[in-house]
Amino acid sequence: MTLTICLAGNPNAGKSTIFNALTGARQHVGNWPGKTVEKKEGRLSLSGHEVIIVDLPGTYSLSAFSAEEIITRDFILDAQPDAVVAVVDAANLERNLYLVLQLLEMHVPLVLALNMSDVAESRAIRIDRQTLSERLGGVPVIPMVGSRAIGLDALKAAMMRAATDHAAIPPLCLDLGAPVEQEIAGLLPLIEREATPYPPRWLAIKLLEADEDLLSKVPPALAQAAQQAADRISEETGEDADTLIADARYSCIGELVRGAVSRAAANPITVSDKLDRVLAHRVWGVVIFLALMWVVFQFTANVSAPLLDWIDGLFSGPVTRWTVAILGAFGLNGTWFESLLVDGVIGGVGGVLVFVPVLFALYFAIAVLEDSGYMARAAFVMDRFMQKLGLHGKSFLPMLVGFGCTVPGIYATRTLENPDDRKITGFLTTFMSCGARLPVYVVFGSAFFGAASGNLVFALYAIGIGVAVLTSLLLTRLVFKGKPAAPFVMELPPYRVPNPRTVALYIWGHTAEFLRRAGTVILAASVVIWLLLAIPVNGGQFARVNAGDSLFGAISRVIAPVFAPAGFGQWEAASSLMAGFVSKETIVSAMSQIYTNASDDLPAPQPLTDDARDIAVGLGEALVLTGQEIVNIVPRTVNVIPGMHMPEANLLNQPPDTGGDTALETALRAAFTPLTALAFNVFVLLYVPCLAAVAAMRQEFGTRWMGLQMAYTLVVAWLGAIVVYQAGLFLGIG
Amino acid sequence: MLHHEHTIPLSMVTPGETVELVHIHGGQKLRKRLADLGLNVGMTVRVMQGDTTGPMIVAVKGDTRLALGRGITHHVVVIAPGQSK
Repeated sequence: MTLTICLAGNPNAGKSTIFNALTGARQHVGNWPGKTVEKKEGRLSLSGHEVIIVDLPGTYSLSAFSAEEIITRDFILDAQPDAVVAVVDAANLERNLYLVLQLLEMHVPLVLALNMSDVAESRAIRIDRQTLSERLGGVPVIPMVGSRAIGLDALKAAMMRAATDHAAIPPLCLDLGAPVEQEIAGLLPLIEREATPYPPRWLAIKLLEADEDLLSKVPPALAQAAQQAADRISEETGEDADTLIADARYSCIGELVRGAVSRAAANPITVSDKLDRVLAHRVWGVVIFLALMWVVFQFTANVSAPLLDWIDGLFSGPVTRWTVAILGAFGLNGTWFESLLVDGVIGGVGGVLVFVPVLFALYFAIAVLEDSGYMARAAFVMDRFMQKLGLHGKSFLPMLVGFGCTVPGIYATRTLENPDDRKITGFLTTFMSCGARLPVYVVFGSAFFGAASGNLVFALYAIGIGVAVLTSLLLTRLVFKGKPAAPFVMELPPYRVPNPRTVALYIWGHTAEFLRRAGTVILAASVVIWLLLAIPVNGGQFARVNAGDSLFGAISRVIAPVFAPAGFGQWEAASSLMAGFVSKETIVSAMSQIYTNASDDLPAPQPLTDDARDIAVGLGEALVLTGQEIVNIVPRTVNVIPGMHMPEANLLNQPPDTGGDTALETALRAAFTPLTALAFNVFVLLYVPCLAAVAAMRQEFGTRWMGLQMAYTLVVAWLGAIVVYQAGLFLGIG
Repeated sequence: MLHHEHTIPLSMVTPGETVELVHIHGGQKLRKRLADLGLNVGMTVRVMQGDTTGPMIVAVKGDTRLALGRGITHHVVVIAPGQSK
């Protein structure tokens, strides 16, 4: 028989460590249907039962304040799990019990996992489990240290007992005080008559608390009666009903822990408090935050680069060659099938896999920042500044990561709590010029601006930031107007050393999710693009036409006039931009094909053993370079300070990348003027970053929002390019 | 509504002081959110860190530390330190 057991608890109570300890790698990260809230599910076999463990989102309460709370509540009500494990932080028992009381009000078979008992002990907090369990009506209380799997067997036994026993735990009824109890008694007959799916007393309390979600779900007559009852309570007592109910819950908690919990001293100054004096300081906090963000940026942008290049080389080199060789053995050389496999499928798979090292690096950084407790401080110190843009303190990280790559930037918006903040931040992240756009700027820069090429690059980065700021003001003032920003209130968990297992499973779970969800979209789109390039329109053979004679070229010709007001209305330019929709990396290679008619010939075939050796050596080199990049974060950071020069490590003695494709540059000088080149680059900067980013947006924000964002970036890019070109003409530059 | 003679907004309390919370101005949503996190009328909070312009860190219910934005600390009314009801 399959059992469903869910984990509920406050954020920072260590739910994920217990979830990981229970399920190991047998877990699946996804989203709750229609929500941008992460859903984690895992499986394990316990005493002959297959158990599905659902990690519910971290919540402080079961009101309808956030999507997380509604998800948790609905899951418990609708899915009727066989047992609920309430994970509580032993060092913060009182606040955590607030949620436990609400779970007990819902009559679920409950087990209390008293997590981080070691921390509580080290702070001389003593908890009498026996007394606590008795006072909670017999709920088993299991002391645990989730990060070291201590108490895990006891938890497994207790939750299986709770799930299979069905020994009813007596519902806990708090006395909410005469004025509230009187109104509850008045509402109960009404509720019973309406036959709602909810436990009656629980519903009565929620309605008196003015729970918006439930008020809209019950019949209007009941909602109205509840509102009148709540008004009578506040008239009679001078306090709002919700305040009185919260007060009653906290008094009950006071009774529960009296004599069962003892602490050495009230409000001791902890090590975290001392660290916060620096890390959350008004000035030093910002300096340290910026330094850390720089390191994260280096990590995602540079540390992942060698492995990225290796994967790219692996797919464009040996894998392609072997495929061609195998197909040759079946007499399929030069056929459309070979072209589909090599250009469509292998190109697509390679295009997906190159993101893996980037995402590994990003998720490592995020996991460490989150698990150490620092992320909450980052939001705290940046809040002052980001508020001015109508954003949340935590919005900074995704935007910064976006300079490396938009895809992990979009995923990094998950660190924000409020769905609207996530969407706005995701919107802005695409305007942070990612690493893949840089080669385009560089090619145009050296073709048109020579030594001043750096200025072009700098100007484009600055334009991106400027557009992001304007977009933010536009979104927060117009689109999300009337929705007041969620009040800035968050828990600052104590600092701790990140748990390697939590970090590893975080990286693994999220990267696998990307491969599964974004991967399929990218692969499908690469095949579609291949098809467009393969279909001849001016006669010729399928899969053997020039780009200009294919359906792709024909579409480019249709689109091209749209760009005439921006000065680059030729089909070649439109074609390159269409290719850039798949990924910005492809713009330069597409341009060299389209403008110079050069095709990248396959390298000469070589024996399999040589290939194998090259792959191994390449991987070795990539790993060495990865290490080198980690070390080089130090000199690069120091060199940011003007006047400092610290040499960087160069272990493999590689010549600096000269880049530059003179044939292409000559062709570009013939096709563009400096002004149209600038307008073109502005368009490249601002339009849809790439297919992987679009897939990420869809995954995070839904199809509608993804469409909106694509449309917005296209319009902004188009207008931006026109403004640049027309202003240039007006000023007589050209 | 309860009425106290010597009340001030939480934002005016200096770090290191412990005060009793007497009222939260603002909507039911804000009050509930704060109550969920352990800030309800009648409780004591200790201001750990903060200045008059930015967010604040307060200690509630033993070891819990909460960051509160300026918009909130202006709306939380406490008994001025050194006074009693």
